[in-house]
Amino acid sequence: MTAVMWKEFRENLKWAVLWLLGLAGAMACALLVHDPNYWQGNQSLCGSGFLLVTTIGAALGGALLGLLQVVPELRREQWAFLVHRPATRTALFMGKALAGLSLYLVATGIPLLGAAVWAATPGNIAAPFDWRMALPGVADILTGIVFYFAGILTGVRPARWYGSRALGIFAAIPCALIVHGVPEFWHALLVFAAFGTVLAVAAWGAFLTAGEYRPQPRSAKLTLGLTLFVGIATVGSIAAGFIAMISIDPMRSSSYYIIDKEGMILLVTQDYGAITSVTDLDGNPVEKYRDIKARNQVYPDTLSSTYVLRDWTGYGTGYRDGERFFLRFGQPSDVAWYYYSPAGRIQGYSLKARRLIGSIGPQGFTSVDRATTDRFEGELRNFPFSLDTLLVLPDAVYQLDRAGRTVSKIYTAAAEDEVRGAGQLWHGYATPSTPAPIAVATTSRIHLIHENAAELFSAPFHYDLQRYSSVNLAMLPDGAKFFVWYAPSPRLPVIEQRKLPSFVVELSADGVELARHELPPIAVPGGQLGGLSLAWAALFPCLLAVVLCAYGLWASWVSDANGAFSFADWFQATFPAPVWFLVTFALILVASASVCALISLAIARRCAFKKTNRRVWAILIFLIGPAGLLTLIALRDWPAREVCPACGARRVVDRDRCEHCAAEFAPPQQDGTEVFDDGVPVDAPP
Amino acid sequence: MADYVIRTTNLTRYFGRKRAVYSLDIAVPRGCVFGFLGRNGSGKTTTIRMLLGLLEPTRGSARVLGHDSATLSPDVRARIGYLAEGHHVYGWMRVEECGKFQSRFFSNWNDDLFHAICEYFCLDPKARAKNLSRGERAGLCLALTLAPEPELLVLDDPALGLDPVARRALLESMIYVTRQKDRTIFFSSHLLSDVERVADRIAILDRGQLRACCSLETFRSRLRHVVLRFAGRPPELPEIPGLLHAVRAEGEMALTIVNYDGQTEEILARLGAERIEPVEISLEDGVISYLGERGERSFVLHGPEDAS
Repeated sequence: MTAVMWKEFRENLKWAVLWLLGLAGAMACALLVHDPNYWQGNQSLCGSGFLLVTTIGAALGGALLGLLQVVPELRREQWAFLVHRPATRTALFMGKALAGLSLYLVATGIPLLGAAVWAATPGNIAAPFDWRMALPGVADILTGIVFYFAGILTGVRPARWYGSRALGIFAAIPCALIVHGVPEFWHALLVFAAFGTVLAVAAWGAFLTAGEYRPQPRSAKLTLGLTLFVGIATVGSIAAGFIAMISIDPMRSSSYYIIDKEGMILLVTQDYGAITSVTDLDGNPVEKYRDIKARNQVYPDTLSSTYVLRDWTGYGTGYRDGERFFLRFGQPSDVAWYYYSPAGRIQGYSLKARRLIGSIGPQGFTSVDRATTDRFEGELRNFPFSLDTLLVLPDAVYQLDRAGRTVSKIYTAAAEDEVRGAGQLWHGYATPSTPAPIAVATTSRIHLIHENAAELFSAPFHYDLQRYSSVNLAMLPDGAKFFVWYAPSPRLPVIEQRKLPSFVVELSADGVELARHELPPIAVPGGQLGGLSLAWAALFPCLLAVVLCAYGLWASWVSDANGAFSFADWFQATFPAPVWFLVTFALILVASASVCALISLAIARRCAFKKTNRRVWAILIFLIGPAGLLTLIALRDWPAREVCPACGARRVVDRDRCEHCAAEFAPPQQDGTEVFDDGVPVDAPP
Repeated sequence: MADYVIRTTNLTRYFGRKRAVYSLDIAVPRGCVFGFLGRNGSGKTTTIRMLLGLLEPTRGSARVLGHDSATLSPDVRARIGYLAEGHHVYGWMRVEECGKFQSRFFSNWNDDLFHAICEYFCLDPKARAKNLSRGERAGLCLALTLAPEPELLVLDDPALGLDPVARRALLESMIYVTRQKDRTIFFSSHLLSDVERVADRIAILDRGQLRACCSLETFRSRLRHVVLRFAGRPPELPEIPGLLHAVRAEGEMALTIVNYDGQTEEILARLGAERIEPVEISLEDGVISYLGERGERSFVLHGPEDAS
């Protein structure tokens, strides 16, 4: 194995070095090219540009290296020279894979390490650095290993490039997508382990047999089948997405509520981007918006609101989000300010020197050359992506004065109470004499605070925060009236969110309730239902429909305890279509699955599968639909068939006996010119 | 019972619908030099690849050194030397690196033999394989194949593309191997003079089917080339069992017949020839007749009435 590793190192070192240089250059570009519209922190290892480089660089690098290690060796004599030696094919594969993976990790790991060291070095990026910011890059590099095995598999399989050969690469694409989507790094590790194992075993099996299916071990056959299925499903999804993109108009009709600057709650409906109607809550058209031109005034007339409370779980806190490690305060001028949780302080970075100049704690600013002793305590409760200069902690809310480099405590939670959220009301209406107030949400009340920490009013929450945890606050430009808008919690199941109404409570300037308004839920418009929608039914797997319905049953059963929604509600929300459409869809679905199962039976019969195998394939393909049928076609060898001289039926040539009549193959025809030694018993058993 | 190094039973391989090898049954005794003959595309390389487990048979099986060829263990592979057509080596390796690389896999690597063959072919140890001539590369491949001192040497058209000097050097190396006790060589070739020089037994494949498998003496003895002299135009030929080739000319007819026996003599006697002259036939002529187009050809000049 070491000899093979040495050979592979020597052969592929040049590619690895080339890729290392290319990737390092691309990473340097992503880190160094400064876009003034973006935050400094975004340019670091969690920046979208940098992660685009690591994602594509790792995936492409892995796949290319895998292909380069096997495709040139597939020439007949070269393959024979490689494999005909006293070593098992597994050892040869291991030698190749270990060398390839080492080179791959060097080619991708060194640039990432260099980037991390560069980002961590003061003077390069005007933002804090946390070593965990390198984890997204590490996850991308691990995903590249999946692409590496996909490359080997694709290289070894003797299929057509425009046929099923490239499906291995396509099968690795979902791995990259899921690794991007999961919230935690360890989730990404699990995804990598699952995809990596399947692709590695499939590549190993293909290498053992030079890509032939029949002699592969059972585990390799299974993983190859899974890989091809995922590849086919990926290609199908890409094609479906593309067709949907060009055939479905995204600018379809939609409705939403607004509060205008006069305090009226309006229902605005737009169609293809143009406002078609503006009505009050009773459905009566609003006179001043009857005219088409006047309707365009709706947007400037809309009262802006501020989130006071919202469940932000999952927003900006994933392992790929820079916001997980530090929070930015306002647009930077000459100094960028970040709340860095591990330090418990607001740190200031000079944009010019790109170095830490000092930090602000509860006791004020301390320059970088002096030791700090104080720190803010407690879990940060700020809203991600907010431009506020508020520091929201469980026991208090602070306001940062960036120019003065000080913080002032503007609210302190009472004992047994805690702050759950805060937000500064829209600045657009504030004047120097009347600065915008700050809304603070605690466990049970909402407080309106003046910048000088004086409380303007305090009011209890009007609705159950379990269900209405999304609370906005807006105020009229003259500050005479406030509106507290309660919307269903984003943590609730979507179907329940869609069923619940929203509420707006009007408060006077001193917090006295003036009125309550119920905002009925707005029906979500369904897609255009027609021939194209029905055509999807032919591709949809039955199993997925069954799993979806099972999930609906389970969700409604769990929800029934609270009386939230029934299975019928769930079904209607999940499949928002008329009954005729659903029935036709189901009929096409079952018909398509049945046709696929019948075709699979015909294929299995043609290839002389055993009876049990025929049934298993037919059931499987009935459940997973056309993608399963295509997997069967791509997976199996297609033995030639000849007419059996005994029974006249067509028989496969890879069986010793006819599958119809059990006759053996006829011996080669002789014409009397054969010359054989009489004494050599070639047909005797060995 | 004879000791066979290679035995195949109904060995068959299809590529798609194309039948490359059909129901092949051969047995190669230990210690012999076995020539595997056939035209291009007759299935020789496919058979060799199946014997070495590089290609799965569509049906049938082969046993090499007593083991199923589809599952040859590393120990068994160490006993089989294989020289593929094209003489592949890694071009970027130097000659000495090739030897070192190969030696890492074989416990019984004979470094002296490797260097001796390299010297025999005048190979510079520092030369890169890609810069060697075709003959030199063949010599390097042969050194890599022979240095582990294999029990069975499988050579797939080893002299392909070599000049006469390199061919002779290759042959001499093969002869060296056969001097070792119990060494077997199984080789395919188109160079029949080489086969005649070294082979004990031959097998001939024709379009994937085995047509002959016998000792060289048997093959020679079964093939006859006879010239029949006639006073006038030779008569139409009747059905002659084993007739490979017939050339008709003015007053004579040359026939190449396999499995010539008393019945053949009777048929020829009935043709009314003035004389029947047996002619010596070389192996090369015999195999070419055997593998060439069958049937009758005529060199009789057409008469005036035919010409019109």
